[in-house]
Amino acid sequence: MEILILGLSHKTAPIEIREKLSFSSKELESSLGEITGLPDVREGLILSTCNRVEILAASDNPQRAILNLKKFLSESRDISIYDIEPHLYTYYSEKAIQHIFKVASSLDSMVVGEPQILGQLKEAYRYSTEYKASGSIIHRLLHKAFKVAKRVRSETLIASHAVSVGYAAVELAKKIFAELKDKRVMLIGSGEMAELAAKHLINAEINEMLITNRTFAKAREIAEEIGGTAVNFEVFPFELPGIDIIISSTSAEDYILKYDQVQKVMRLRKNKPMFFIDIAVPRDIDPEINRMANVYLYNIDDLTEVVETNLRGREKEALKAEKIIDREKERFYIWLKNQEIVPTIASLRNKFEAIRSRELEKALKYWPEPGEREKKILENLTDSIVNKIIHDPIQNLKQYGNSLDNSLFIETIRRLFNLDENRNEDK
Amino acid sequence: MQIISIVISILYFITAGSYFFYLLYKNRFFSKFSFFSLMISFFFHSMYLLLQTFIHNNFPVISFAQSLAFFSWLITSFFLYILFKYRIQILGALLVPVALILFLTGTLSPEKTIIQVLPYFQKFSLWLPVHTTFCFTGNAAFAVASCLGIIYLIQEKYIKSKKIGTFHRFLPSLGILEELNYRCLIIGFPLLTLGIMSGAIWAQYTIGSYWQWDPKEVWSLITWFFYAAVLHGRLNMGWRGKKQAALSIIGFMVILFTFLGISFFHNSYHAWG
Repeated sequence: MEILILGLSHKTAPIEIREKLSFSSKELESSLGEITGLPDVREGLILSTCNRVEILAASDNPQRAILNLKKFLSESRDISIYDIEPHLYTYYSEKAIQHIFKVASSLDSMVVGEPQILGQLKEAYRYSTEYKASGSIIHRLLHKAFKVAKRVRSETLIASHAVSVGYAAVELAKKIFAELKDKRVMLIGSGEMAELAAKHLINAEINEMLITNRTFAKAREIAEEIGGTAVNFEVFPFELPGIDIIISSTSAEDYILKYDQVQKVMRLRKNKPMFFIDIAVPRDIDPEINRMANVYLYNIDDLTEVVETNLRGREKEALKAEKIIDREKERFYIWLKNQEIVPTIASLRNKFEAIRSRELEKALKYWPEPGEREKKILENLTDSIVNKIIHDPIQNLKQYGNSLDNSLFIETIRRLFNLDENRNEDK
Repeated sequence: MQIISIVISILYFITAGSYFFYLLYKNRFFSKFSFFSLMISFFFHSMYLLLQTFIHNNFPVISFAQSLAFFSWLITSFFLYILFKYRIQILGALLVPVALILFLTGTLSPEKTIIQVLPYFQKFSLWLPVHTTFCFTGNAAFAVASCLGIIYLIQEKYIKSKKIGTFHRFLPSLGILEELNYRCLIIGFPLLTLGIMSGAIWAQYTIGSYWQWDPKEVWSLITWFFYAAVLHGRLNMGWRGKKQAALSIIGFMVILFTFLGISFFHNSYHAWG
């Protein structure tokens, strides 16, 4: 039994192709049924997100299974195979295991380390189980994948670095203040990035969000949208001593917060720390204030720099994660191969037993009048010859149980004795 | 007795090394190993103090070695408390070496400093544990404050200079460091006050004089005024953050001088600790 993956992702296909191939959750029941109904496909799972469409399957004949799955994909999605072929990738056995582990651990994601993909994979697995498309291989593989993802998450820092400006601001705030739940934040001005940063802070459960704008109506609009209180632009400076975090993003030509002003505010606050996030270009806040004690000022370039450092950091962590995945992949592959020991031993026995009884029958045909005693002797003789012959191969198969070499043994024995032919006949 | 001191020193050395590697590699193994090793060190350390108490039939502060062992034991205790309550492991990379150095200084110093001549140490007096426990616990709190101050300064430097890397992420937030530092100061200060007061009362009973202008008394008073000023500044003048951190580091330097310097260089009835 082999594991295989057929799919495409943001790395290989543009959005136009991805959206054509995607499966809605309503389609999954029938599609999973179709897949597992295909010849050579034993188990199946469909993972369909906005960044990837992948079909995971278990099969005894992976090459043929892939061909059938490609045909299924093009027919069910109503798209020519020639249009999708250049975007598709296929993975077999070890590579397939590695790929699914990487996907689960978010190493293959557009933003490496993003957490959604694991949930999406769990969802895909749930559907596959619910619609009875998964068997022992997929169960085991997916549970292992979830475990690997958890290990990667806890043993590397892959998901712990903020990779957006807004989130980087929240992370910094968390490193400046002991807690955010008693902190008051003010958003001055508007702008997508500033509002996003404000939203992230609200999600981090700050105490209060004040929003001010030269146009009061605009302030009210934003306040309603992200959840906060609008403040008149003329009075906002009076609020400053009670504010811990300021996000500024106005289109003012000159500084709207000057050194002297901030100095006064800090005196009133008895030097309680303040965090200024200046997203505006040209800048809103006098950069000199960063030199004041207990004042921390980050402008858009500083935050972008943090994000870039974090992205580089994630790449470094991804290397660590790959090592974990490689080890786990190997273990799983050994397990998978070992699944074939018992059936191999059984077919080996069956084959020899079949030969023995057939030949014994033939021999007895030519015997004029075999007595019970002679029959018994012949029976025992052939039986013990067969047992002695297959004793060593079986012992060796069992003995090498937990190593990769074992797959070689199994493969050799299956080929030498033509066991796969027998299995197909059995079917 | 020497052997158990050496064992404890080695254990602390291993713990300190493990915290150093934790700082370097930031992985789970060293985090767990450090904790494990710290618990073993702490256990032996506690046993050592108990043994000393029984052997000399007195509170274990009657020799220089004992005093330092007791002091470093208190520092480790504080650290364990912070570890359980706030999970600031990184503090171990500073506090464990401090505990080790103090313990080692005591172990390596000549044993002659055991005081038997002074009559008020001959038999167990309740004033001895009271006075020394107040003083040492207060000083241990200041020791922790200074290490928190060092970490604060490092973290502050990272955030101010916008060098946001792995190490910055690894350190606790400025707010928590400042808050804990402050708490150490407000725990340490009343203990130091009580220590000085109990010492004065004890002296009145035994020597007949509240205050002798003994070098250690003078320096303790200087320390007391120093921390009084730091706390006053914090409460009324906004001496927070970097200033508070720097002052708590300086304060502990003064304490170390009072503690070690006086014992080595001055003749005083406080000479052993």
